[in-house]
Amino acid sequence: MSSSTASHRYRAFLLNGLFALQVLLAVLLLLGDALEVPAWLQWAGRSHPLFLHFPIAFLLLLIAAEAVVAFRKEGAGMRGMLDWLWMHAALLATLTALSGLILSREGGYDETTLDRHKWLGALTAFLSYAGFLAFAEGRLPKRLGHAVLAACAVTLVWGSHTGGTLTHGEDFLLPGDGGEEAKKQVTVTDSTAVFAAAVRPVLEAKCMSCHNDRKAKDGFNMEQTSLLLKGGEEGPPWMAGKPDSSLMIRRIMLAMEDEKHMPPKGKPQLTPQEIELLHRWIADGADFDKAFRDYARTDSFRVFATAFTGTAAGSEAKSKSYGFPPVDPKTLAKLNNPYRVIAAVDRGSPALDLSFFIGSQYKPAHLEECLPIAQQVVSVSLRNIPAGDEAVDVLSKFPNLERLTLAGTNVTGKTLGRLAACARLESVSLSQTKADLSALESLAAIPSLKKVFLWKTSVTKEQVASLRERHKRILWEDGVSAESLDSLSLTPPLMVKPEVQVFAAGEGLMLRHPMKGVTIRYTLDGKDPDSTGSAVYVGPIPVKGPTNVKARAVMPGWLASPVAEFTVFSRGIAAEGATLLTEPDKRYRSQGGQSLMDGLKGESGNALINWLGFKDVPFKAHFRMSGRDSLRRVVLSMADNHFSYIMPPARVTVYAGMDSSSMSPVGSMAPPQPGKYGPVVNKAYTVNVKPGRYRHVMVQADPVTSLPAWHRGHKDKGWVFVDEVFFD
Amino acid sequence: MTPENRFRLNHTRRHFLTRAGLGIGSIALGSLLAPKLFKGGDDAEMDPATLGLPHFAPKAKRVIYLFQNGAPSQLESFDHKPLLNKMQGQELPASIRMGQRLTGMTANQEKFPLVGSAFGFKQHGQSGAWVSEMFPQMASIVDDICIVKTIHTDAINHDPALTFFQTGAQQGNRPSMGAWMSYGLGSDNRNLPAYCVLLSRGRGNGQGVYSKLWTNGFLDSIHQGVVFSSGDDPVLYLNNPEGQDKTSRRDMLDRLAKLNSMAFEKFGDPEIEAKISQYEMSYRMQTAVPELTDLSKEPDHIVKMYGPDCLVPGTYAANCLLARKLSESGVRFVQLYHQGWDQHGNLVGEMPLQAQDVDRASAALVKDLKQRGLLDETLVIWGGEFGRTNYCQGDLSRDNYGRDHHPKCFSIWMAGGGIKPGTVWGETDEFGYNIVKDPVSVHDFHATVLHLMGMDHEQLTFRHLGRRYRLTDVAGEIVKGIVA
Repeated sequence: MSSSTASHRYRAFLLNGLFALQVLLAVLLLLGDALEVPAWLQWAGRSHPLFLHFPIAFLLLLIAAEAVVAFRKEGAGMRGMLDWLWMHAALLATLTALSGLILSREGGYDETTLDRHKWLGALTAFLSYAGFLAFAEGRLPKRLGHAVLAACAVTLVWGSHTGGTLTHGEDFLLPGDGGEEAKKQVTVTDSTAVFAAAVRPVLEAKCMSCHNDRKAKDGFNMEQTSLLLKGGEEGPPWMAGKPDSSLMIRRIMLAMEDEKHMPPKGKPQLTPQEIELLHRWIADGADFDKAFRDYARTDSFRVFATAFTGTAAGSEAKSKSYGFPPVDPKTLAKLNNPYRVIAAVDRGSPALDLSFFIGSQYKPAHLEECLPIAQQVVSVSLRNIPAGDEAVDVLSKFPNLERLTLAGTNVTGKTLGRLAACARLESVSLSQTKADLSALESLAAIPSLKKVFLWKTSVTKEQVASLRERHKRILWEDGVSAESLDSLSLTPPLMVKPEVQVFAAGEGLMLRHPMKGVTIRYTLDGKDPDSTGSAVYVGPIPVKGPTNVKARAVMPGWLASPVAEFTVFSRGIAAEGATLLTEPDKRYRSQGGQSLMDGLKGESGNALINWLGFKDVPFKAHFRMSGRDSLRRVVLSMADNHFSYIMPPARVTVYAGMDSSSMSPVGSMAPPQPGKYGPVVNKAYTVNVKPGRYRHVMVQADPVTSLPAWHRGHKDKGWVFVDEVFFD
Repeated sequence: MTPENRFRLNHTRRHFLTRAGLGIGSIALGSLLAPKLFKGGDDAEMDPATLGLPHFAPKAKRVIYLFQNGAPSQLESFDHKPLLNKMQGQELPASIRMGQRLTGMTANQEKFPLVGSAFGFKQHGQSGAWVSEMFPQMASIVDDICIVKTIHTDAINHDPALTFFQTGAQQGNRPSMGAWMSYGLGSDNRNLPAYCVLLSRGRGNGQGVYSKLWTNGFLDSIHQGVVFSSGDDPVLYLNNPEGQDKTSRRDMLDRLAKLNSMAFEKFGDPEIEAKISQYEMSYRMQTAVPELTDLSKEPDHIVKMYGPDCLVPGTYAANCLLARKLSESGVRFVQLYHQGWDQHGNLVGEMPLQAQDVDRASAALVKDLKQRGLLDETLVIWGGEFGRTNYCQGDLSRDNYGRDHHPKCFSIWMAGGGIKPGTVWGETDEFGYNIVKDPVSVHDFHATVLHLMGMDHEQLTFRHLGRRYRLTDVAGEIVKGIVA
């Protein structure tokens, strides 16, 4: 009971509302241009696209249903629902018309179409109300009802179509006949007229949707040159040479709010570059035929227009179009594998790239299997694949081939002439093949050919010159030849195991060089080796005590390498323990005394690892010895890195004795200080000591207290870096 | 209900919804975006994690990026500023510095004495580009390259600047350029990673590189850069362990793949799929990598072209040669880093050593690609993360000086793959401090590289944490003037 009352109330409410809205619509329509929409009501207009699909669907459904009911006398059971639908359809149609009316005041649409759409929409709304009265309420004669139904069908379809035209443009449903033609891309060359290349495309994109053959707004048609020159109701569009007085420029430059502004508010506007182009073109005389080449290369308008067309071409980045159909994806899937990759040139292009990888997997049949897609393949790479002349035969059946890479294949070139069947072939790489002059001559006969790569073929320099002379249209790229290169220095020899610098008895220093055929010569006396007299390295160099090896690599056709210097050590007498007596700098502490006898050499370069570093105090360390072996020499392994303040020690002193309290000086040395920045190297400083058996040895190395004048740290303190101490 | 069961129920419901919604949706979307996705081989060859681009026909198919880590001085390489020599020792005018932010290393310096290049400059080639005498080999290829003198960055310290160049953002965690390429384009040669990284260290003051620079960020981990080691074995753990032959390896991989597929069925984690395809690829790499390290097909004089260092693994020259071989084998993005360009002091002593290490091999790479017909489709980039100041850092002595970091202008060069050869782009003021014409931001640089690779930088996106990310973030204009 209560629910029925509620639905009654709802119905009454809707009926009253519907009537009120119908009246409002009629009033607003009559007000016409006098209607001003306040900003806060704009949302109502904008909701038009939201509503409009409902009445279209509802009314179409009703028209069909009522027709069925009327002619086949069926569907009596649907009556209740149809009545409900009529009411809502009428309501929504009215709301749609109202919101459309408000939206129409925002402007920016083609006025003729807009006007038509407005009246058709309003009519549909009224007719749907009439339909509601006729069918749901039964207040109109049946015959009249049917007429209303038919009229409503017409206004609905026509009105919807005009609405579609407003938002999607005229060509949306059925592309116009001239549409395709106009969109054809202009290929820009030097001989293209600037108007055709740059100006016309702007007019097409921004003006011609209203100023065309079918719809010349204000009598102005831009599609044909003669009519364009004539102009519209207000006269010719421009005065050649006077852009600022020209109507077109003036209308474009007007404020957006001005109703004479072009293109009208709401339509796509010209970009600043486009305006500048029109302005400059008119200033230049508005010549339809003047081509790029008619301007000096440095002419500012030519430079601008070239850049402008470049911009247009670049921003769209149009892909090349091909006339052949795409390959069936299933065929492609069957052919694709990790060693034979077929990929579209770009998304959406039917053209294919075919590449082979991993020579050991290749069989001639792999190329033949691609014949079903021969039409679509535009580039083939057989780079470094052991394909022979049989491949050329297969390739000649690829009619659209543009780029071919045979570099590093076994192709002899004898059959290359067959590629003449590939009428679009532009580039062929034959680098590192046996192709000879006659092979290249046969290639040169292909008229489309532009580039040939013939590095490391059997063609001589003279033959290349003659090919260049006779076939100027082709770029013959012969690359870098062995003769053109200067003599270079070899790289220095390397240690086989650079990490081993302390050798046990019987072990030797092994050297190597990465290049085959190199001779290594070396010295042990500190002199630089020369390329004829010094010892030739044949096997491990024995290491007895600290050994300074200088080595260089020599080979005919090359300059001798720079000298490499290796300082290595023999293990000698092992100390039983080591204690640091002075504190190293806290950044370079390594493992304390232990690191002096662990055989781990310090690393040079940025990472100063395994080093003990001293600056403010001398390096002082105490070693416990077994006392069984006679000591003759003490060797300090130290770093030289002058730029980083790491200098040779000012003095090295060795103290020794049988117990720790009675040690006396047994030897010292002062290495020479450098006179300029030297290389970053490891050095060994040897102190010859009074021979004898000692149980306690103390070694002291004093850092330089004042750096010399040539050094960037003049008068600053120097550093000493120690990584190992050896006894011998 | 036990907690386990509750978790299970929740878990499966969540996964069902994710898969029903995202799964079907993403397949449908994927087929729209990348028709190539379903053109793949019958044995799951196509990486489901790539988009199957390019958007349009690319000018370059591959990139080799020779990153000069530490920031080489533009004033001693490509940006010739004779005025600095004339004004040697005079103070940098405030009207030029315009309050530019300085690093902590020179911000407290009392004076900013201008210092000119200690190395001579000459014009080279038909383009007449100025190149310093430290780079005679690179000078010989100026007609093949485009020198961009007006690149600029936002960062003034190495790590953020480097990260910015590699990932388009100064903070880490975004995917690097190579990862984006791999994501967009996939790999040509599916027997090698799409993105390979080679490291070397020069003799100058160096700065570190970290794996975050070649990270996949939020992209699938299959897009991460693979570092080739400098030892005799460029890819570690690639060879079969001793005592295992190819058949048993294959057998093991097949069973492992089965287990992984089961796990994927259960959890739907794309990382599991990435794992499966990476195992498969490394199996195929066992045949691909020996071809890379095989130099027997190289003519003898290739060693002279790249310099004899190219036979010493781990040197810049060796990496350049390897980069060519990788690129030649279809690797999409080869990233080199050469450390040691941070000349805050002793520039006169260190920079020639750095130049010696890279000059010949960099030029050789371009020449070598060219003579094989590869340069047309390979983009080569050479450059650091920022430039160096026109004033001296520390004391200016008679014959030595240092330069601090300078983000406002510096020089890089690009060659091949769609780059207009023989071009010098942009101009800096005569102090070499500010840009006066055609600036190129790092975003512009990224947009241009993507453009050359056939991708629209605004369309190459990945949805993560609720928004779409791009390499170029929300900026970037293609530098049309350097595109052929």
